Amino acid sequence: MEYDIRIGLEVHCELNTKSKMFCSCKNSFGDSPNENCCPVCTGLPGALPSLNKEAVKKAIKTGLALNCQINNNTYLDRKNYFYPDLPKAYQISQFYEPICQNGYLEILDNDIIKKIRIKEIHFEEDAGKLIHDRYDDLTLIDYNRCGVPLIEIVTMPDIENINQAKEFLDGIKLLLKYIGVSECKMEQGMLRCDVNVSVMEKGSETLGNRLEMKNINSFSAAIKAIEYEAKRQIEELRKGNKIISQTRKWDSINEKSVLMRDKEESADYRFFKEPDIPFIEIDDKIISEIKREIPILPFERFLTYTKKYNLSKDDAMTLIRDKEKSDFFDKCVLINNNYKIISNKIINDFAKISPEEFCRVIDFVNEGRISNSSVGKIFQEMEKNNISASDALDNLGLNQINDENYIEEIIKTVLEENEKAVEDFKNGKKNAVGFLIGQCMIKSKGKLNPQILNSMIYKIIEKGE
Amino acid sequence: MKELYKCKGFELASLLKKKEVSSKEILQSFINQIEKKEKFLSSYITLDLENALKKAEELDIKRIKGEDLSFLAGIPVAVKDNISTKGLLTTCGSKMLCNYIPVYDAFAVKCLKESEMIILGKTNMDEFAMGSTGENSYFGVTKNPRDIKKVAGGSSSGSAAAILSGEAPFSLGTDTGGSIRLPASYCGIVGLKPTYGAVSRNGLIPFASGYDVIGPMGRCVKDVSLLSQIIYKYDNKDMTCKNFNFDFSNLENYSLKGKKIAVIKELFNSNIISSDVLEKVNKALKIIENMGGIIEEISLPEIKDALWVYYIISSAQASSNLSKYDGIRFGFHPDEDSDIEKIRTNAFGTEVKRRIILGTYILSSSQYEKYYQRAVNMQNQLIEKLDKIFDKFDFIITPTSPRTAHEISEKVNNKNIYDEDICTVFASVTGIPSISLPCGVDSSDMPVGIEISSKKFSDHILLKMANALEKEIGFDNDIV
Repeated sequence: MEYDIRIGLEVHCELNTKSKMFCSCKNSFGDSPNENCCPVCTGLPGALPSLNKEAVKKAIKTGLALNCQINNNTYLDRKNYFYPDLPKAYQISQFYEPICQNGYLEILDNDIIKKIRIKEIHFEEDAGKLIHDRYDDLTLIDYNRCGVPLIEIVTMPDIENINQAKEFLDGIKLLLKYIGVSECKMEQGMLRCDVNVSVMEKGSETLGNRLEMKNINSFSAAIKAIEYEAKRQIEELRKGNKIISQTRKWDSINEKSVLMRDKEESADYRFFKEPDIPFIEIDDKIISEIKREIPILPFERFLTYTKKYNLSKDDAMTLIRDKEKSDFFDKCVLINNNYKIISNKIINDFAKISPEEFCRVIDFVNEGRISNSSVGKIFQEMEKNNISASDALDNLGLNQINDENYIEEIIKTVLEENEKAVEDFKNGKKNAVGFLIGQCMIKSKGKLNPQILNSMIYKIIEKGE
Repeated sequence: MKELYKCKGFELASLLKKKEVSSKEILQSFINQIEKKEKFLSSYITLDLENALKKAEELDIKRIKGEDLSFLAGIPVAVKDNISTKGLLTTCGSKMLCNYIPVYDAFAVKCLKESEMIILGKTNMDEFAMGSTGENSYFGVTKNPRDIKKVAGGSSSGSAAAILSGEAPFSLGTDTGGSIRLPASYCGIVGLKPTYGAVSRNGLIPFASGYDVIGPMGRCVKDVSLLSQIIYKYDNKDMTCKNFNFDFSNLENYSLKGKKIAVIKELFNSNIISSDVLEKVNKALKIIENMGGIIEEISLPEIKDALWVYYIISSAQASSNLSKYDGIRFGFHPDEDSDIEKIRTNAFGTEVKRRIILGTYILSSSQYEKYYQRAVNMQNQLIEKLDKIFDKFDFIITPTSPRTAHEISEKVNNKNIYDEDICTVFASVTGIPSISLPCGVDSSDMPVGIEISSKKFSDHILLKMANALEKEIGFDNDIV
């Protein structure tokens, strides 16, 4: 029996707002424990949340970038559960009316475009951090992360294989960085994900029972967890066992999933509208303002780069992975159509100079005024001294001379001064020409265009003057 | 001159302004009364008299220096013990918070301090404001100063008793389903439940976040209006607080002529209200008619539904609000072996536990639609209905409580106890302002309260109306 797998992902992303979601404490990683805390984020009695507008805007921005509908009248809910890292004993989250719904992200699976549908994006606040390993008999709590704004991006179970999962996670990470809503530093826990895996008979329309895996702290672990879980479930089915809906925990050290709880034992979070925060009305004007701030997104850039500009997939992705470089490329191709050289030079020799000056250097190469290998040096010189391309060429003494009359004069002088070498050449000592070319270069301080010099010097010698 | 503790708040303020007395003298008079009365009444949980004296002396110096002071500067005030006071024990009337000292002031307390009022201490209350009688406090039952065998009403029991006994000229209470108005009615003083969102809840330890409001209590409408001026301020730390410009400056010369007043048929023509109470309220209605007001009977059968809406939503929210009390970071924690279960079992009183259990059940995913969702829908219908009523009417008048204060630990079953709130909860679930003022005494000489409600954010007009009526009723609420 062959099986199909279906994967749904829940990506948690910390938003890079200046302050926390419900108070004015700093949203920053790595400060000394409990430095960024106040009565609100430590849940002291009577403290009230004030919603961070920047977080709302960033959630809307994410929704728009993922082609979602924005909920014009949304609100927050309380998710009630007890855990030591959650001082209010409830998390302010969204359950009934998520801020964004029904979107999608396009990915490329073996050259085929696939849409992964986004079910919803909702708000959450992050919890504190429990530190278990510092002392044997103590657990320490750091509340700095309490109240850091998070969005959770929930997909439909549209992902059919490991490659698609990888492409989706890479794509979403890049997109979040592009729209500037998160730094996406995985090592700092800014992106986390839960994985849902189900397995069904090949060709079947009905999804198998769903397994949720939590506690996955990197995308590579997510991929491993999916591989493991799909394999485990298929083996169970082949043995004739049934798959029961469960929540499992990914053990990244032993690389296996372990049972957390069965569905019957699943927690009842007793969701209800957070009474401390009124409805959030989002008018269309704000939505269109935010829309205007969204740049062209990575997937669209990829299609343009590979189709319109004929870049290789690798080159296209290398550019796109670094938004600054990709933006730079987009500016350059408006003024210069040597797409391949531009992309090459950006990938290998990128410097902070203006696209106009950058393209001027590319022109110099095309015109043969400078050699390909000097480009990096020129960029650096331009960036360092904030000067134009031609000034950099001057500074570096790289201004190639292409003027044929001038080159001819130099050649004639050198030939006159080195009659013996000319005789040697005419007598069949072909490498004597190398000496003559060298002499021309010395005379011109190396600025002569080597190709022109080369072709001219033969002609002039052969004319026999 | 009569003794200072017998003066109304505004009288004290003008004596101070005329420099006929000092803040310290006023304070001392109230302290003497506290020392005399407190052992019988239990109006306070915590007193802060040393700081109060220090503050009074400072203010007297300021006054001598001729510094510009607010009208109520140097006047004592008592604060209900669920309103956070920085550095001063704030227990919510619960064993759970018997050692909790807030690190910040509630916004309303900040307002009091900015006006340089002098905080006497924290008043007794039903645990976490759950109760209508003042009997559910871990720190003992508050007694009614008029008859110490009787309850003072709750949950702001101490804030009402302190006013009537001359233990404080002003107090702050909180009202979730009637907790300011009921004790005001039982004690024969004036208590205002503001429009939800008119006074910041920041620092008010929540019971039901969607209904909780802080409000002023005093001997007369004028005092309540003066205290309103201090606490009705916009606070951007409370998202449910609206920036609204109330004008409390001109309380007098309000004419009731042509004002339309609705009385609710379902309350008046039923056996819910005791005949004693009904008689006194009807008498007040006659007075209103004589003043030119137009009384009209309306039908609002939903007033009974407001009770279950209130108990469902408030218990649900309470179960969430109170789940953070675990004794781990603050609050009751007897010994190292105590786990959360032990602590919560031990430190919450019966009524609080009852509502936590009820609220937890109501919110469970299998019951949510049946109870919580239905209650929210019903609440929205009620709000719409009241909006329509206020299109035609200026005020709604009801008794504040179906009965007057009863004997302490008189056996009342819970269903009945909850019914005591039938006149007050409709204003709570719809967020409208509502004031209780005394309109007479019953056959056992206990005060009867009349409750006037008006549309949202018309609190200043409500006070004018109450002030005009109070003058005509002429209820004698001398300190007892």
